[in-house]
Amino acid sequence: MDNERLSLPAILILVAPVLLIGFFSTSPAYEYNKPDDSMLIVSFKKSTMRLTLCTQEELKKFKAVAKSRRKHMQRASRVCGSRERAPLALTIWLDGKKVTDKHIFPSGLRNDGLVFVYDRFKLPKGNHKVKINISDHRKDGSGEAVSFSENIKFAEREVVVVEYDKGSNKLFVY
Amino acid sequence: MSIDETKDPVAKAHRKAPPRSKQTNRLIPWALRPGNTILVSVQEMFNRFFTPTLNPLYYLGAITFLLFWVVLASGIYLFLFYDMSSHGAYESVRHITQDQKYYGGIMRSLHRYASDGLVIVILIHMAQVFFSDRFRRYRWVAWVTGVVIIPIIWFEGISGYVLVWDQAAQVMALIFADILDILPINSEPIPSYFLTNESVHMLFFVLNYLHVAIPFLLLIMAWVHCMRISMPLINPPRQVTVVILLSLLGLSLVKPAVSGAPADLSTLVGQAPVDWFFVPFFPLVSGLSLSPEMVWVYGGIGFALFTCLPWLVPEPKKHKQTGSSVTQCVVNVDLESCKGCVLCQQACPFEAMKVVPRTDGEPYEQQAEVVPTRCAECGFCVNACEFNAVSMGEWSKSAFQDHIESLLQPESSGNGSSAKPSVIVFVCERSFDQEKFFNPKKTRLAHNEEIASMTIPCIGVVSPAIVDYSISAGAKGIIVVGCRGLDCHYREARRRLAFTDNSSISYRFLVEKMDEPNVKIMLVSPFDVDSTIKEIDEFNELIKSNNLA
Repeated sequence: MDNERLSLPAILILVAPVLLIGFFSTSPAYEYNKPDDSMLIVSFKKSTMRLTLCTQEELKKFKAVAKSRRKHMQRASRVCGSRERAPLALTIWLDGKKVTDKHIFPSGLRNDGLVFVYDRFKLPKGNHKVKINISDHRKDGSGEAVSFSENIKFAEREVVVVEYDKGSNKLFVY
Repeated sequence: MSIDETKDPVAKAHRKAPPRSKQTNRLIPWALRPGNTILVSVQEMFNRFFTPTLNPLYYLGAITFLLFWVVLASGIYLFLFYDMSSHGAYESVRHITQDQKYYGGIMRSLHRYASDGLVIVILIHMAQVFFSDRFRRYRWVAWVTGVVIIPIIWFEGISGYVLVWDQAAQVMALIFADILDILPINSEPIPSYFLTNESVHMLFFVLNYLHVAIPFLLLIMAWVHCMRISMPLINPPRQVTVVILLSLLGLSLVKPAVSGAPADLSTLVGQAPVDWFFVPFFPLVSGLSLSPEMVWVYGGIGFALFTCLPWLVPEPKKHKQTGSSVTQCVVNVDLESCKGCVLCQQACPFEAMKVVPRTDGEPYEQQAEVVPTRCAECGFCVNACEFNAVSMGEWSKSAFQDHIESLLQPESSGNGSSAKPSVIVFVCERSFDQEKFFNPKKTRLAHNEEIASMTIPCIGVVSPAIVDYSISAGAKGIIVVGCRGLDCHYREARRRLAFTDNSSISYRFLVEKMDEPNVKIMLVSPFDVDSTIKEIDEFNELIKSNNLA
């Protein structure tokens, strides 16, 4: 076997796939987005409200014994009220048309973690009216809502990200 | 000694055998036959250009290893200069490609092109193994591990592309993140890591480590893949290796792999180059707007289907030699005769024969034991045993010897004449279509009833002892017809003819007989029927003239 030599056709057959590799490793190219495409991404994380809070009686009882507890157990939320947090209601309108209306549940096995929101919409470039409502409510009906409404100009192939700011409790364009 | 042919498993099996079409191996499941015919034709065409010893189609697994080593070596070099952060990755790749043009640039190109080649070779290897019926029963472990390796290589390739962090990487990363997001592995949506150029930083580290760690996983998988394969080939012939390496090097020089524009997550990627070997479905996912769920559904169904193929392809109904169902191993060890001599273990190509401590109180330390799930029913162990302790259904060494004796008895031919054959031809049942080759009783060649013939599971069953026995029983010449090169279904023809002096192996190989003038060993392709018949006739004439002299 060591003394055998490859003929020219054999060498060409071996080289042919390498030529194919050279071409198909980059070509033909693919157009993933047209020039007048742009994108809106709504992405944020938010801590929603606990579904129920401690009752006045529970709070009283807890305050009486709180000092005798270890430090991390001195918060009332550790011993009363629900650990589970409320789902986040998310509604998005684009140019007046409702494109998303859903409830997103908090992460974690007990739904006690953060709510993660990630939604994206491909739009033609130009001006678009973007309206976003988010709200979360306790079982007793109390809760909070945040609203965002803005005319946004989308440039060619621009990606606009709408984020949530915990400090100001507002949605904003990143 | 003559035998009752109604009890002879070989003759019995042959009489029942339905006619088969030309160049179609009846031992291959019907579903694979059209593909097998094409495969054999292509291999034969390659044999003409390369010769069987250098045919790259016989070394696809070995070429995969070769390309893997190229990818690994070039990858280690690139890793030395690569900046693992998302901020520095693009610039470091640019530095490797442009500032070290004749080292890093070539290394990067080799890294990319060899990995592309890896995908091609693996897919062809897979098709070859499938259509040559080498993926079922005792070979299922190799098939399943091979199928599992494919998505791992796919993931490795995509992660490698993302690490370049150009525009192609950006679009690939986003589609890939969408697909991965379905898995319950992270509470935070994975695409949200690719929101801004800063947020991608963390995920970049994870990808880097995975890209470096996965080759080790691949090595383990490759080891398991080869574990139960008889004599796995992991090095292609030197000549083929040189041509492949030189052509990859040439391609790297002529068309070096380069990056596109740097990734910018604040803009959408328009047109981007696509590596059609690694991500042909990304444009499909994007173009058809396939949801990630559907990607998993289609991918999952495809993966499950391919993994389960060894159990989905219908089996041929009966094994020719044993008459047994092919799903059931019928090799049996008679402990009263077994001396625990390890000859059967050495002869077995699939490690289906084990030697274990004696259990029946006989004065020998060991005994042979069959592992049924690994048994290929090739019959090597039956003929290796010098004590007639191993049998396969009705096939035993003594039955083989009895059949040889009966073949050498004069037999009435169609025109009423009686002739005692001087030459016996042992023909591998997988070598080629033998319908026109034998007489109706399959005991003589159809065109020349002076020549006795017998089908065998593989030339591996013809030990030197069988050759000696045939000659002592009256044969003047022996011809053994087997499959060419690595066409051998059990991959044994090579081994049987390659070992000349190996003191660690006491089992005797047919190679001992190669130089003897009255023994002829022919390795043929399924298309060589006419030339094989011609050579057999010439050998018969030679033997006859020597006898007369």
